[in-house]
Amino acid sequence: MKTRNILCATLLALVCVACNPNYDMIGMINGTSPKIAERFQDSRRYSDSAGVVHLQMPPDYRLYVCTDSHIDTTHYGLEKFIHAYKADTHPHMALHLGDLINAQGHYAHADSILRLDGVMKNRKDTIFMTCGNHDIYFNQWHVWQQLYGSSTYWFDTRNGSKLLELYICLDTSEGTLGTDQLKWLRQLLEEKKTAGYRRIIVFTHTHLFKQDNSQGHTSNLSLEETYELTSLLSEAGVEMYLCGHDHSREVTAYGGVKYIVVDACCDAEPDPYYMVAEMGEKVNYEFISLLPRP
Amino acid sequence: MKQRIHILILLLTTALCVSAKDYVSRDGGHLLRGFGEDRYSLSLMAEYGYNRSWEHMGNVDLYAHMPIVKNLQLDARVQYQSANVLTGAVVVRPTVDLPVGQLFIETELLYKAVMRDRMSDMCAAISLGWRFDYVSVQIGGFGRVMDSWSRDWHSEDKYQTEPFNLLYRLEVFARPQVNRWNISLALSNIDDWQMERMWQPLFMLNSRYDINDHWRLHLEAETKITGMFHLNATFYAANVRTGFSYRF
Repeated sequence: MKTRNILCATLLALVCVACNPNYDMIGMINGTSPKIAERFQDSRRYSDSAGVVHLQMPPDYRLYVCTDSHIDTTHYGLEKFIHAYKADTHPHMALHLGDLINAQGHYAHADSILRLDGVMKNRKDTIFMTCGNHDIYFNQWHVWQQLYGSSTYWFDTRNGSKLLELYICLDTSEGTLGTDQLKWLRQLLEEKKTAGYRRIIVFTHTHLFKQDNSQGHTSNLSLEETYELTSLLSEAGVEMYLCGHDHSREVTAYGGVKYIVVDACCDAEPDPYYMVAEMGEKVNYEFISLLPRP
Repeated sequence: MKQRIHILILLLTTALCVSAKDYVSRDGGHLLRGFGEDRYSLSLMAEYGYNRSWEHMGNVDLYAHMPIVKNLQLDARVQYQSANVLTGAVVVRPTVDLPVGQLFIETELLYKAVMRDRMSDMCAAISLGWRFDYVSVQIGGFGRVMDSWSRDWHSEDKYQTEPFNLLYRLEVFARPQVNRWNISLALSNIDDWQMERMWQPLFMLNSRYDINDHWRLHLEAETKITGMFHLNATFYAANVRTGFSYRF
């Protein structure tokens, strides 16, 4: 009888968690969006038809980075980030590293904030997006793709004909790059590492290292993938790997690559930040607090 | 979250105590990780492995199990993967026989030379386990140091440390340990050749058959699902291995 009670209590607890509309519990057994192989093909199709973006920039420009906005009913953090970005008179561009929304049904809200003052009409403007695990919960990949096109792509910044930065966006929202995306990355880095870029920057959602327990129950890429990806980035001379997912800042250097986990900018976070980097001959970056909230 | 984990551990321990009330310790030797076996043994396994990063590979595993004195065992293991990865591990395992089951403490050092990626991964683990005829449960922690062999010593480059990871293993057996054959299901974040982060579980299906007093046949399978705690689970890796043990 005692054992049965314990089992019933455990089952009840699981049912309660499963009923939380923010958690796609089916996804714990099998992700509800198309798998990485299919998402990669979708992304490549879009990118091939849209063409590669070459942004003309002065040699010194600013890079704004925010991640994990987890938009549901409020949007203070993301809105403040967008306003700061829009108000900057210095040439600039921005990255959003995934988890734009928290659960299902919030894309319209989140997208209306991103498009404040018409800042972003499509991906060819100046906010470049990648998707996070929350963005594809409840089979929402197609919504994300309809809005932002591709989660695996590259673009670069140039000053006239001089190459500045090569940016590579990866889709790690499922906790793996998958075979095809890894091959694509390997080939792209092989082609570009001698092209004469000032630096190569990779951005994605999921972090590689687990230095502390700040990440709670969010998982990393698997060990084998961590070995493979870090080695690949080092060999290709990648300078920075930018990601989110952890919600807590972590800056480390490994194999010649700087790995930066940017703090979450979501409203549920007690101490939200975004990052601004001065992209010149050297990179100087700082983290800007999104407090106080209105 | 921490509170939920504590409640889960409490529930699990209570359930084990309830299910083990009629247990009488019988030392037949657990299938996995060598323990419980009171004779020296050597095992050789051949393995087919696949993961999404390294794709197909063949592996060779060599195990030595050494019960040095009663209630103290030493294990040594070496694996070569055709993906150009070499792994070695040493385990020291004191055990304590209880009226109900057997307690064991495992101290393990695992070193992986990932030659294809010119880096190493070293883990040190300590864990406490409790095994019964049908169930074995193990919990502990491990730390990791990951280092690139191409490190630039004149830069801010550093090795990567992961000071604390939770280690867990739950294994359920179909037959009592004294049986000539057994099948088990295991959920863990470690196996003989890797220590994954705690939110990256491994699922294992293992079986053994004692051909005679000396020879034992093994057949094992394992899978790694990634992104389970992203709530976007997808297949990442699988291994199938088979081989023999010789018990002296």
